[in-house]
Formats: sequence, structure tokens, C-alpha cells
Amino acid sequence: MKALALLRSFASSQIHRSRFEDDMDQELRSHIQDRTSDLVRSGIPRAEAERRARLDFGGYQKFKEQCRESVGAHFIESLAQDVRYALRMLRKYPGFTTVAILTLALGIGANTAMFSVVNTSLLRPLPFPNSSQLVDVWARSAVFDFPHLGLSLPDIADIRDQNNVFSEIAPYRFSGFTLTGHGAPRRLDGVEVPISLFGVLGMRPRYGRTFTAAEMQPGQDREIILSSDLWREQFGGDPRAVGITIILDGKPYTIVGVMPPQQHLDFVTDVDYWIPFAPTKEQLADRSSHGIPVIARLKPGRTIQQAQAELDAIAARLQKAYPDADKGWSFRLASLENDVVSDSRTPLLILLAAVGFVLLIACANVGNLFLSRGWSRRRELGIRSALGATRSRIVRQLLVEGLIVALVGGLFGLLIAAWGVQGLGSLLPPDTPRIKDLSIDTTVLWFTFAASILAGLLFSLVPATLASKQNVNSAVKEGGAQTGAGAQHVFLRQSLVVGEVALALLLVIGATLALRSFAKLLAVNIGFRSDHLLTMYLDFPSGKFTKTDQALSYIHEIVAAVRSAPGVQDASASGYSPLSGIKGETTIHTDAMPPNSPPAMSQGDTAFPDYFKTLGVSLVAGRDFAETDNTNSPEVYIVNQAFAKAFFAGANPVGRRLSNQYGKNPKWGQIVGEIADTRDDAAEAAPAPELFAPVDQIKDSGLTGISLVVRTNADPLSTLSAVEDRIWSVDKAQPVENVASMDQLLSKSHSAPRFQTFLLGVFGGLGLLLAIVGIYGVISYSVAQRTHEIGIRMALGANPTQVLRLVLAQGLNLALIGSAIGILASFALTRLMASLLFGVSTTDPLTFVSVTAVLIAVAVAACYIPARRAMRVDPVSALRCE
Amino acid sequence: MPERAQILPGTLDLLILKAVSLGPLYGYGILLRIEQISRGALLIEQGALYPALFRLVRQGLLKAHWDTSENNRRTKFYELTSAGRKRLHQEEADWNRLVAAIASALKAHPEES
Repeated sequence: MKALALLRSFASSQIHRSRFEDDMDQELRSHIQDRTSDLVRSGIPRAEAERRARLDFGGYQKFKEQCRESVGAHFIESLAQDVRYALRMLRKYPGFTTVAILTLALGIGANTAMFSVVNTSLLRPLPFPNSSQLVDVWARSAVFDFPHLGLSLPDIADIRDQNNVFSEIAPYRFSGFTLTGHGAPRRLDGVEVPISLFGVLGMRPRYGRTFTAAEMQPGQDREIILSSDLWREQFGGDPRAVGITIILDGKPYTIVGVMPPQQHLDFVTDVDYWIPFAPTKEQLADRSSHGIPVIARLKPGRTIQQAQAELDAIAARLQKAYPDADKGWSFRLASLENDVVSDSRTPLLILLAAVGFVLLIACANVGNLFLSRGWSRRRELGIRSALGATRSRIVRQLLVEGLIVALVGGLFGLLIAAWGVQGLGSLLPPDTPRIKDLSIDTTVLWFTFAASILAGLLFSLVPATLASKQNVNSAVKEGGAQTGAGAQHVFLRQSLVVGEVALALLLVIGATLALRSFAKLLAVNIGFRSDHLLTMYLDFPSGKFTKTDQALSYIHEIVAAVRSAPGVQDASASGYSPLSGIKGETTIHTDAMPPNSPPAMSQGDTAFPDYFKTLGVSLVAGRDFAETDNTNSPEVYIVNQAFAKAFFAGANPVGRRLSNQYGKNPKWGQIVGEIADTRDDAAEAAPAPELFAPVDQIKDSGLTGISLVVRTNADPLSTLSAVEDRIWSVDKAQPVENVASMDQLLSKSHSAPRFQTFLLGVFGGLGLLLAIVGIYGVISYSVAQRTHEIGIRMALGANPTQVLRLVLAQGLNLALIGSAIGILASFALTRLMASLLFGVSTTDPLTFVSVTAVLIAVAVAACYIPARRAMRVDPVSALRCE
Repeated sequence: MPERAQILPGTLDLLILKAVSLGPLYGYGILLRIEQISRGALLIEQGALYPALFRLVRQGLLKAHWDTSENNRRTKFYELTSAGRKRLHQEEADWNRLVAAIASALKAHPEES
């Protein structure tokens, strides 16, 4: 349809154009006729009168052309002419055209692929109505140093009553269930939500309905809304699932709705299910349990700063009114957009900048090609301007050629990007926001178009102006003799190469820093043996155990069963999975702290006997937990070296006293062992103080699950089914979650730095390659231009070695100047990537020196080939070719 | 025959506007009118009239329509638009100021300066 309309409008413009031409012709001709008749009337013979009239009128064709220009009709026509001519020129030099287009396609393609990641993850607005008004409300504590603490329900109610900045406040609570009765038991993650949350986020069910007010009461809250994924996987995408009752944690829930697919944001919108948020009366009154996260919508026109100021005022009032519960607590606002993308922004922007530099280098290369071609075409251009082409016309002609090359390059770049985006998708760290939605959309297409145009202007504007500036006479007269390129040309070409070298150096230094940092990361002693280690999490549905004793004996049974599985060397359990990214925090007192001092913070976990042996963590002092450390024996703890260093000044902690209980009269226990530090949280973070208590001494009944570690003889995943069989021989309904080998987890925890290092490496390599090609091109071109000069030198007695040195020195000069600029730029820019580096300074001298040396060496090597050519110049033929 | 002056660049537009201000005219008529009002003292290349006319139409200072001329030929007539009339007044004023200034400068005697 569109094409047809386009065709029609083109046709009509053609018709109008010929009518315009006819009219103009008639008007001008009748002028001459009128003149002729006037002259005839004054007594001049007709033939003479006609001649005089035409003479008086002046250049008929010239004025017609000027008329066309006056109404602008001319522009389109001559542009079409330029395009036709440009296509002919580009076809005439297929080698030149191919190299230019391929170089640009690489540069633009890499940029498009990278931009589509940035666009998907960072730029696309969140899929919520007026998403910039949405904010997360977190609590901040003077004691617990956590960025994402929740609020208490009474505090939330007070904020709701006292604020003037939010149009909506929606608290929510994370929830987890075990689904049974539908195939293998399955662990589900969901959220308890108030009705308003769906409104705030603009979520509407695909089938069924959301919750009613009556369902927001404790006891009435047995309704569930399924995510699209869960519905598809468990109910085969059958709309009749609505109304069915399913069993979660042993209790019946009725499916009232199914949500459409949600974007992958790691947020309350992308979970397995939603159930009503129905706090009990006690929870509603409990001001001291700070644990409820809140999403709020700002009133139109309100800023985050205004809202934060108001929350600060409310927090101050609450601290005064409820010192027991709210002392030291305040509120922190963060825009939802920032919270969702915060971790990915810096790395992605750095990568985008790096790939932008690659495009600049590519432009410099193509610009150089155009410069040298402009020089060799100066005769053609000279003739054109002698025939009346204006300067602007010639500049436009060359610009059109450049833009065509750029647009074709952009088109191929788009193909490269379409292919590259898929590769990036599998390479990106899995926690990159919205990575599953990675695609090339219209924004990306516009970006590609703009990048192509910009690149085209960049590399062709200067060569075009320069080429048009030359003197017609000399150009035509010189007859293309190779008498040394114009000084401006040489200077420009060399500046371009210097710039390329500088940018390439910057890129390679950045890539090398990332590589060294990644190597250091891999070399970090993680403190345990990750090979042949299988991990999994066993979730206990709420209500599975009424007493802690039951849970403990269940764990004993499971561990014993797993230990007896074939292929299993050792097995044990802990509260949190190593490398899961989840850690418990606990307040502590030690006997080294003065009495009545405020509690300190440490990571805290529980461990089963032989846990450290199974992981391969070495015991530095004391002993491991034993079966006899249970509820009937005194409390015991094992701490890591970082703990000993932090709280006992590095002295042997074994035998020291410790309490991890909060409250008025904490019970004290004894440290019985010290273990080596492990990096099972994040390898790049310094080891944090951590203490372990025996699983058997857990007192509260809120034991929600246990993490298993299994040391296997063969490949850990091949042993999985044997392990699962043993677990299910104890309890058929036990879900087994988060199964992974420790090596897999380790590799996953390295995915972000690996991705960054890989891409920076690719960009650095690409930049280096292009820069080398650039310097090679300039030197070999200059050798060709100087053949005559070299011939004279050799005729005057210069030997080949001197000629070789002459050429290499020219290349070395360019490389040196470029490197100097590149080093300065690197000093200025690498500090932006500080947050990406681990164990390497952003101005690491070793990296700077070695990369510069290698780059200069490679650059000089690239000049060697043309230099050899120069050496072989035959003085006689060089002088004759004049 | 009076001495003829080369036309100053940029003044052709003013002359055309002036010529047309007295009533709609076709191309050759405008030329005659200019010769008449300048009493034949200005020399222009006749064809140069047309690019100027096309330009003035595009600038909205003139409007053109096809009509039948006195000798029954299809002819393109030009007339002034209100923007054209405004521009003519302004240019006339500017021109007179310029001429007065230059004339007084040329009249000045060395001892007066």
C-alpha cells in the first residue's frame, strides 16, 4: 500500500515537472517572439530581428537552468544525478567500495548490536504506566547496613496517612510455596500483593480477575493468580485452569486469574504467582518487625527529592513517638527505574563507549580511503569544475558518494547486528534486566540510520571540501603526475592515523585491564574445592513440621540417606547455599567487647557436622561440629579467619565466648573452631566475618529449608538422580530445588566480568586491527606517492637500508604521537571503569607500558611491507615514470 | 540614445516589484515597463528577468496566473502580493536613504571634512 502511494506521488511529480518545463519554455519563447515583432515593427528585417531578439535575451539554456534553481526544482533532479553518478563511480572501483563498506558494516554492526542491549536494558521505559512516577520505599537502619530493608506495617499506615506526595502506596511481601499434586513437587516463588498493586503497575489479568476487597482478609485469602509461564508449564496454557483448586503447602488455593507474560525485570511482576496480602491483626500492630517492601506512585509533579524530604519528616516524628521500635530507622526512596537497572548501567555504558570508539576508528580508515581517492580523482574533479560545476556542487557530489557508502555499510551492519544480538543474548550475564526481551526495534533502527549518516558525514566531509578546494588549472595541467601529495592532504591523513592509533591504544589498554582483572578473579583462592561438588536446596513447606525436633531428625535422615547413595563421597548441610548470593546477617557480642556495648554485625549461617570437610574448607584451629553438639549441650560456634581478625585482632578465637542472640539477656556460647576464609559470596569482595552455629542447635521452629552439599566421585550432575532417589526414599513430596554443580555456580558468578572482558577484548582487537590497517594504508600510499623522490635519493647514492629506515621512521613517528595521545586519553578515561576492575589499578603501569610497546611494535611491523617495497624501487624506472 | 548603466546587483528585484506595482504584467511587458520608467537608462540582459521572477514568486512577493494577452496568446501574468507591496515600500525607502547618503558623501568638498 505504502509503496503504491509512493509510486503515485513520484509519477505525479514527474507529470508536474514536465508541465513546469513546458510552461517555462512557452513563457521564455513568447518573450523572444514579442521582442522580434517589436523589432520588425520598428523596420528591421525579420531574420535580423530574430537574431537581435535572441542576442538581447542572452543564454537561453542558462536562464532556464537558473529558473529551475529559483523554484528549487533543480535540487532534486541534480541530487538524483549525483546519486546516479556516485553509484557509477562506486561500481567502477569495486575494491575501494567493498573495503569501505565492509569496514563501516563492522563498525556500525557492532554499535547497533551493543546499542540494542543498552536500549533493551536501560533505555526502554519500564512496562508500567507513567513508570517515572514509580518509586521503591526502603527502610534504612542505623544498625543493619542493608540497602533493601523493609518497613513495618504500622509505619506504612502512618506514611499513608501523613504524606502529601504519593498517590498510591502498595506494600507487598515475598512468598514461597511448594506445589504438590501436579507431577513432581515444585517450589514456586510469588508475592503477596494488595489489590492496589495491580493498579499501580497497570497489570490486568489475561483470564479471570484480580482480587476483591473481601479476599484481603486473613482466612479469606485462598485465591491465587498465576503467571503466564507457570500456567503454561503446569496447565498447558488451558484457559479453563481458572476456577481450579490447587494444593500449595498442603492448603487448597483457587485460581482466580492468569496474568499475561511479563518482562524479565527481577521484580514483583515477574514471579510465579500472586496471592492476596492479608496481614493479621497482630502483624498490623507490630511496629518492630521491619520487613515489608513498598512500591509507591508519586503524585503528578512531585519529585523524589520532595517525597524524600517528607518521608524524612515522618521518620523523625515516628522515631520520637515510638523510640522502642523506630529508633535509628528512617526511609529511603529510590526510583524504580534506577533500582531495576542500577547494576548493569555502568558496564553497559562503558561497552557502548568502547564500541563507539571502534566506529570512530573505522570512520578514520574510510576517511583515509576517501582522502586518497579524492587526491587521485583531482583531475576528474578539475575537469568537472572547469566545465562549470560549482564548488558546492562538487562537495555535494562527494558527500553523496560518502553517504551512499555509509548507508550501504549501515544496512550490512544491521545484518551483522541481527546476528550479533543473538550471540550477545546468550553471552550477557543472566541478571541483566530484560535480557530475554533483547531485540532490534525501531529505536535501534533509527540509531543505526543516524550512526550511518553521522559516520558518512564524518569520513567524507573533510575529504570532500579538500578535494573541491584545489586549483582547476593545476589539477588539469598536472595531468595526474605523482609529484608529492598536497601538504594539507598529507597532514590530514597522518592526523587521522594518529587519532586511530590513540583510540586503539585506549581500547586495548581498557581490554587488557579487564583481562588482567578477570585473570586475578579466576586466580582468587575461593577457600574450597569446587570440583565434584553438587549443591541443591530442600525447601520445607510451611506446616511440614510442628516442632524443631521433627525438622532436625528429618535433616539427619536426609543427610544419612544421601551419604549412602552410590557415587557419593561425602554429604552435609547448611542453612544457605554457597555461592547463592544469599547470606544471613546476625548481631553478635563477643567477650572481647566491653559489656553493654552495642552489638556488632556478622554474617551468620548454620552447618551440619562435616560441612567444612565436604566443601574442602580447611580447619585452621579447634574442631568441627560433632553429632554431640545439640540442644542438650552448650552452644558452640565456628568462625572464619576474617571474624577472628575483626573481633579478636587476629588472635586464636578458639575458646573465646560469643553470643549471636539479640535481646536483654543473651545466651553465650563458645567458639570451638576456626576455618579458613572462603569467597563463596562474591570473589571480588574481601572475605567478611562469618560465624556458624550447629544446625542441631537451631531453636526456632521457622526452619524453612536446608542446603545440601554433596562431594561426588564422578561428574556431580551424573550423580544427581541417585541422590534424588535417596531423598525421595525419605519423603516422596520433598521438592529438590536449585540443583547445580559448584563449578556451574562459580562460572555463573563470573558471568558479568567474563562478558565485559570478552566484549572489551573483541572491541580492542577490532580497534587494533583497523588502526593497523590504517597505518599500513597511509604508509604504503605515501611510499607509492614518493616513488619518484625515493628514486632520486637512490640515484644520489642512498642505499636500501637508508630508504627502509626512512619509511619505518615515518610509521614510527605516527605510532609514537598516537600512543602519547592514547596514553593521556587512557589516564583520563580508564578510571571510569574502576567499578569493573578487581585487583588491578585503572592506571596499572605494567598494562600501560606493555600495551603501548606492543602497539608501537605492531604498527612499525605493518610499515615494514611498504618499506620493503620502497627498498626495491628501481631508480631508473622511478625517474622515467615521470 | 542616453548613456546606459549596468544594473546594480540586487536592484533588479526592486525594479520588477516597482514595474508590477502599477498593474499585472507579463514578462516582456515588465521589461518594457522597466525600460520605460528608467527611460532606457538601464541595461539588463533580458533573460535574467525570468530567474528573478521565479524567485520572487517563490518568496511570495509576486503571484502568477495564466491568462490571454491582448494579442490572444496564453500568457503568464505577474502581480504584486500584499507582502510584495510591503517589501517594495521598504526597499524604496532603503534605496532613497542610500542614494541620499552617497550623494551627500560625493558632494562633500575636501576642505569641509
